[in-house]
Amino acid sequence: MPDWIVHMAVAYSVCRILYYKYPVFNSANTVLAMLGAILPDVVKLDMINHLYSNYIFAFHTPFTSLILAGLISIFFKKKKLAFLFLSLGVISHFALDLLMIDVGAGIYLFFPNNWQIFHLDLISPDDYNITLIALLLAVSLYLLGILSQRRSNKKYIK
Amino acid sequence: MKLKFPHKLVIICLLILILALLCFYYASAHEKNLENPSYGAILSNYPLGEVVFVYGSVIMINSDSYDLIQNYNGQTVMMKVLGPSPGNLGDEISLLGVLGPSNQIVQVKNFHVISWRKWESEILRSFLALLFLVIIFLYFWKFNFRKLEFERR
Repeated sequence: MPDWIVHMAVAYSVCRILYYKYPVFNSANTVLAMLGAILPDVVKLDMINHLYSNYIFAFHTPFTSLILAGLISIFFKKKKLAFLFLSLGVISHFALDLLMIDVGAGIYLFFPNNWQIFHLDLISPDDYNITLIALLLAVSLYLLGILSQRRSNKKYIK
Repeated sequence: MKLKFPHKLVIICLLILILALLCFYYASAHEKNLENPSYGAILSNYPLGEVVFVYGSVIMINSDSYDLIQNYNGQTVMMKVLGPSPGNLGDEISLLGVLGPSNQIVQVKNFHVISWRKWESEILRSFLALLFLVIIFLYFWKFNFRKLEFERR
């Protein structure tokens, strides 16, 4: 699995691009997508205590992660919207994880219905370059956003 | 969608129950559904001669073999892999290989190495990312303890 910087940066970038067309992808909702993007990695708690590793790894499947997203979204005022943004993050997480090199393991995309493993074996999980590229993209989009906001503010003042 | 307190509690309990059931199902059926048997099978019925999936940290490197250690559900499992080590001490290796007697992998079919330096730096980066997320989350959202809901700041 790529590190959380990559997951969060990709979720941020997707939301930031969509924000130009759809205002609902605002900063607050983008944060929810970023939270959703690291939600399946709750399995990293396994590093603290290996006793429950067999149980906790169920969270690293799309279906279980979406239910967890549903559980979290109950604690928001706009539940449907919160669920949609958390789900967007979850989807982006698995899209990235599918790219990873996995020997003997992978993603159970259709758990609990099907136990087939999916992995594209394109990127090593410890590849620094992916982190750099994702971070650069996110920072560029952030700066672009600030720049375009300033321009529109100037127009408004004129 | 506005959920009143009893309904909200029922839905929360229901979702927690579903999550618990999924976790139990995963724990009970995961090993049986693996493409290649792993530690669960090695510890229970020892599939001698079969291709198994093992992973763990390198704790010893000899001239003709190396040892992997893994904590499997609270149980420490040591595996000896015959052949030159593809990694250094502390590196995380996952491999597919033929299981020989006495927790030995006699023939490696495929392997992947993650160096411990990169692994540790990934953990550090992830921790920093989590810290950043908590800060920006609390910047945009606040928790209303009376309504038990997050609201926009």
